Amino acid sequence: MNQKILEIQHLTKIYGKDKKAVDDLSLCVYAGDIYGFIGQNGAGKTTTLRAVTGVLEFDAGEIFIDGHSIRKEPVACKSVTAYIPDNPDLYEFLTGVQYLNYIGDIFGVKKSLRSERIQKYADMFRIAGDLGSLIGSFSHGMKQKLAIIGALLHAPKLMVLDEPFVGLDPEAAFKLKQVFREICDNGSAIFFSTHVLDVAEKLCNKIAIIQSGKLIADGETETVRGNESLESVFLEVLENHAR
Amino acid sequence: MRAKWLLLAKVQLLGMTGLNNARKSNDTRTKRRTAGGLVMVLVIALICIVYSVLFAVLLGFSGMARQLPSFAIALSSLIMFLFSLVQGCSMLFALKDYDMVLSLPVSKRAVICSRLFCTYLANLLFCAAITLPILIVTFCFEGFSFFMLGIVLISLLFAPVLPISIAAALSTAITAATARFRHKNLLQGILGILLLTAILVLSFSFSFGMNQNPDENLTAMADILIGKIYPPVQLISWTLAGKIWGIFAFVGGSAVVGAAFIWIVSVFYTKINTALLSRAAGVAYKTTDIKSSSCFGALVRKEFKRLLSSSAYLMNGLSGTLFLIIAAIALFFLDLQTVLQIPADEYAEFRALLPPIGAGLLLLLIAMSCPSAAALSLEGKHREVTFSLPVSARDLLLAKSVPTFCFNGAAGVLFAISLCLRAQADLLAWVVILVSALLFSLFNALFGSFLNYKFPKYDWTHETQPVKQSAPVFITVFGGMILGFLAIFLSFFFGIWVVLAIDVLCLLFSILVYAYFRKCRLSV
Repeated sequence: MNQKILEIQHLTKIYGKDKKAVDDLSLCVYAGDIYGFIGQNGAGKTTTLRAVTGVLEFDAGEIFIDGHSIRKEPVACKSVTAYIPDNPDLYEFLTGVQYLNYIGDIFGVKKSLRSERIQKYADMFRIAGDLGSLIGSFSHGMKQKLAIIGALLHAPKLMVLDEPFVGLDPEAAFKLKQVFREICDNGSAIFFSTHVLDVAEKLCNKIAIIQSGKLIADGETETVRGNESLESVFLEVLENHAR
Repeated sequence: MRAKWLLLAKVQLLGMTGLNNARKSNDTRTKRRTAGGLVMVLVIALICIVYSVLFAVLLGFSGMARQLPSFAIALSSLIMFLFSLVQGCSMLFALKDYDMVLSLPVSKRAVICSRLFCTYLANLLFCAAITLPILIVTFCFEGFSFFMLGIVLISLLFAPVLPISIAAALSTAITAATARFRHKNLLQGILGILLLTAILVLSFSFSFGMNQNPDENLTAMADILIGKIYPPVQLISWTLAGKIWGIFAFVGGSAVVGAAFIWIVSVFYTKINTALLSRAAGVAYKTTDIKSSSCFGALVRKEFKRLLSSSAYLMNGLSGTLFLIIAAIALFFLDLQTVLQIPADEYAEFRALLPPIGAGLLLLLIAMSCPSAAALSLEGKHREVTFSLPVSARDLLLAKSVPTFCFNGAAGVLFAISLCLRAQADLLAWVVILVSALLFSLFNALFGSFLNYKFPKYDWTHETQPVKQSAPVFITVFGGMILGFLAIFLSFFFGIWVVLAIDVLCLLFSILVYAYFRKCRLSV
């Protein structure tokens, strides 16, 4: 599977006059990749993810999703992408199932397929019994699960997730990893940020490390970490670049 | 498949009305709150209808029956324009669900359409509440006409488009110009207030600049409104007079302006939102910046910062305060006898009535500004943090009342001084009006917090919802307006004693609300 799903070319985002949040960042995510994006707080991870999803305007560079430019064909890009922000702001006045139907309508998911997927993932994440309740009554973890089900509903080619494991119980986190592998085996790709290096090390086949907006390491997980743990490589790389 | 903008708009409407919450929630309080909100909307609609009918009957007897429909559209358009201007771009930019909506496969135009559609619907209802009763009065004077009914209904459907588009375009220009500044929210608030002031002054100058016969004030005002202040409505007048192309020009013009606005904003939509939602991090602090204060002082300071950090909150919360200041300045500099064209022999009588009437106006304008009615709701999803602080609910609610009291109290005293000087008031009037400025500000601030405690709205997607569309704000603003009009009406019979009675009531209710705060418990 060497089809490019996401291609970021020389992405640069400047806040204010001269604060470079992302500086000339380039990377490629192929079909089947589970690509971990790691870095310190404020390194530029979320900015990159938001630029990829077309939510954030950037100053230079280009982003292609499934061959479409996010600047020129945003709707085509978004049709094959699912995005879960770090703190998904779901509509609290809707019930879980109303929210999923809304997402299904927007992405044009057929009714039969929709109910099949809702049933499958709601059972998997043990949330089926709560889908009739208002989202406002959900816990943070339940909201996260609902956002994940919404993201999976249209079988996206690319999933962009910002800290997807935060708030999930151990069982849900385990199931999510399983789902990641399953959809990547079917030709999709995952690009996600995380602070949990252990998860990144075990789950991702590729890793990118970002510091102060610059990509300082990326590639196959084995190549990036060598014989050491990802944690020690991460700390070492950061220290070297801080000097 | 339904258009995607309609799907987005449907969800926006569900959030705005709160109906889904009431339908799906098991909580009886939520259902009660929604029912209360609906009743309030109906009461407001009823007030609009009653005022419209009275005004229309008055104009009808002045021989203006034929112009009534155009007048109704012009009047509602002007009000919609001012309301939309006060609302600013809050319906378009920096909404909490921005990331979620923009990551969906919908065009920016669809997102903008869905946002504007909700505003359009709300304005359409308001416009209908004014125009339809006036149309019925017109039929009573002129006889029923299918032609007039058709033209007015078509005009009604398109009437909100121009005011909303123009107001939103002005607000967008301000937002775009200030988006990259560090204190953009404060700047937007100040520029918005300046723009609103300029428009109000301009409108008034049209009215006062006319050399008119005092006996024809009402008809002249209607003529000015149709012909000068809102010229597009002339097209409807011409249509009703037989020039059928007028309605096509009105509908076409409205549609073109609306579409052009949506297209232009869609080009800059992401750019403006990116600038608005980006926080300038990395500003270092100096150790000398760290100050300490009492717990209550910290809460109060936070409330002032909250008010000044949001243009929507600032403009909606302090519009009455702004009008009070404008009125105070106008009273100080304008010669009322010349402006209102009152004959010299009648002016002495009018001047005697000025203190109580002015006091009624003072109550009305203070009631229009009640940030405390939304302060608790604005805690939103982060209320857990505030409610878990080691402070009592009383202190929290009082702190939320302080900015309202300070701004209204100061503006009220300024207005009271200006009023008493202009009216050459006696000592009793001076004391009563000055005290009433402070007491009503106090009551308004405390009552706003009390209502917000009883009817909080934490699940908003933009600050405008608690600040402009929530039950406590409706009650304080419209309740205060009714009280103000009642005070003005009763002052014709009882003079300054009406104001004194209201002062006593305000004091009593303030004490009651304060006592109630001691028993309050805040929970998520």
